[in-house]
Amino acid sequence: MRVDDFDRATLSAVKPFELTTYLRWRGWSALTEPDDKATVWTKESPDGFEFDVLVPENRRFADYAIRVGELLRTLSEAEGRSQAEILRELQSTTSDLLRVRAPHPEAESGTLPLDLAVAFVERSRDMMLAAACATIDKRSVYARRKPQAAMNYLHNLRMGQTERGSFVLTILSPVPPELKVAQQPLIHGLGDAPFERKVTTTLMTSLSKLSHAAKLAAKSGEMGPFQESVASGVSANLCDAIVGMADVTAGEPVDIRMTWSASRPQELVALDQVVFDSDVIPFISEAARQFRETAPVTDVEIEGLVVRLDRQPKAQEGDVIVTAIADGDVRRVSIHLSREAYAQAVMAHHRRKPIRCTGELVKEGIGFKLINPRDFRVVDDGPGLFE
Amino acid sequence: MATAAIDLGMSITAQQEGLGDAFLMALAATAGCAAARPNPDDDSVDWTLSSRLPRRPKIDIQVKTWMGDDGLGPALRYPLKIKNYNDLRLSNVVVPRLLILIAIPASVSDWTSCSTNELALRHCSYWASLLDMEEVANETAVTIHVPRANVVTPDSLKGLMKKVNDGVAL
Repeated sequence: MRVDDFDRATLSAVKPFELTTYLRWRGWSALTEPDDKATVWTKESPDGFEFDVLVPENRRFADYAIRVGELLRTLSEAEGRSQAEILRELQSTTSDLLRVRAPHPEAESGTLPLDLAVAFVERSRDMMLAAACATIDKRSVYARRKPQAAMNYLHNLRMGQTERGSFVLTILSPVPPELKVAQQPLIHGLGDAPFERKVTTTLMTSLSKLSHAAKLAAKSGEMGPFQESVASGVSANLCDAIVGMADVTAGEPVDIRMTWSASRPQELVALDQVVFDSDVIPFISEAARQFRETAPVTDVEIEGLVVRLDRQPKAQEGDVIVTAIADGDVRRVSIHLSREAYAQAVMAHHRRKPIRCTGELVKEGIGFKLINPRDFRVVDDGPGLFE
Repeated sequence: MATAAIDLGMSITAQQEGLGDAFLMALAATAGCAAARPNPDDDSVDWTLSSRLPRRPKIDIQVKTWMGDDGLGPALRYPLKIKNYNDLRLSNVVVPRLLILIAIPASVSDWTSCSTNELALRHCSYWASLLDMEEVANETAVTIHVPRANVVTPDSLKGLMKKVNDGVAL
């Protein structure tokens, strides 16, 4: 009994569409018209030898696994690559394939501490989720509850088999194939791509922007470029994921590589590889902290005394400062109010009554600002606080 | 010491398998068919023959060597394991399947005959198609009839390949 590299189940799982997509991508062409059983594909090698393979029409044939095994062997000979490598690409022709490499010193032996491996997988998942959120809406921090579309995307991701050598995690992001209408070329832009491809594109562009910002920060201490990178999809969540991965690599670089699905060519100039060296990790960690600190907290109601009124002579609207509990301590919160609300604030100030207001709380300098103020009212259910 | 008496230690099953492969390889090479082992391993397919006719036909072959032929009648009556029987009669396959049954001498020393003029392999190989044969209730083996007219030769192999190429059932 021979021991095979691939078992029947692995080979049977390859779909005919994956085979034909791969063959077409690698320059093979169909020799025969498809009949109800199989189609012959051929390719000529540089030295004139013609290779041929048989692609079954569907997976229900009893000899399907044998035929796939046969095809794989011929491909390996034709391309001079291992069957394992080809099989991996066959499985990913209809997916964008992400390889995340954690060159942990012990990983060369083919093993990794279990705790680290689990952490690595979880951080990779966090990274994908951050990219999905950024694809929907660019923010510096994403709250615990994520948009349904992002969660749905996450549920369709698949983890491939890890590769030997260093610990390489493979993530497959299935992407619908590109269908060309007759002879018309498609006009490409991010707007034309399916959501799944938008996420992986956003992932790679945001990672490259993050890497760029981190390198600048490492050289100059400048944190400004991090703020600018939010517009490209960087967030505290993405930063935390990278920092978490770096914990696993223990000083070695985090290396992320993307192979775009063969069934949908990547037209945009999106990077195929991003590397994070260990010296930039502390800056990314600091950026995450700053993002969280300066990010608006939504739907907050504050209550407190008006301590300052400020309105220009001819203006209708005005600014007030309220001392209120925010972020665990007494703070000065500034609010820009409409004419009616400002009038109420003046009255509250005069009568030393507290006010309540709802809005988005954002850190500003040493104090806070409440933006989009709503439901402003004076708390008038008793004597004033200092009467 | 007579070298014939030296025992190299191979099991008889393995020896028979080797002889069967030798028959097939010699005939296939002469006919011009490539031969490859199936991947993954399969209980009922030992070799896949292929050729470069226009539609690139292939045939999956199961090889059996047999010492039990009495030489009588129009067919060899061979007890085939039920699993092989069921696998070989399948019609739901991309590549057609054949059984090649090789009648061999009972005594190993009679298997081959060598001279400077020729290497003879004994005795003869026959092919049979079990396509669409009936399901049977047997539990271990089925006696199948392999026609003595179906001798495997380089020419008959070519004919079989041509039939597959033309979409004719074997």
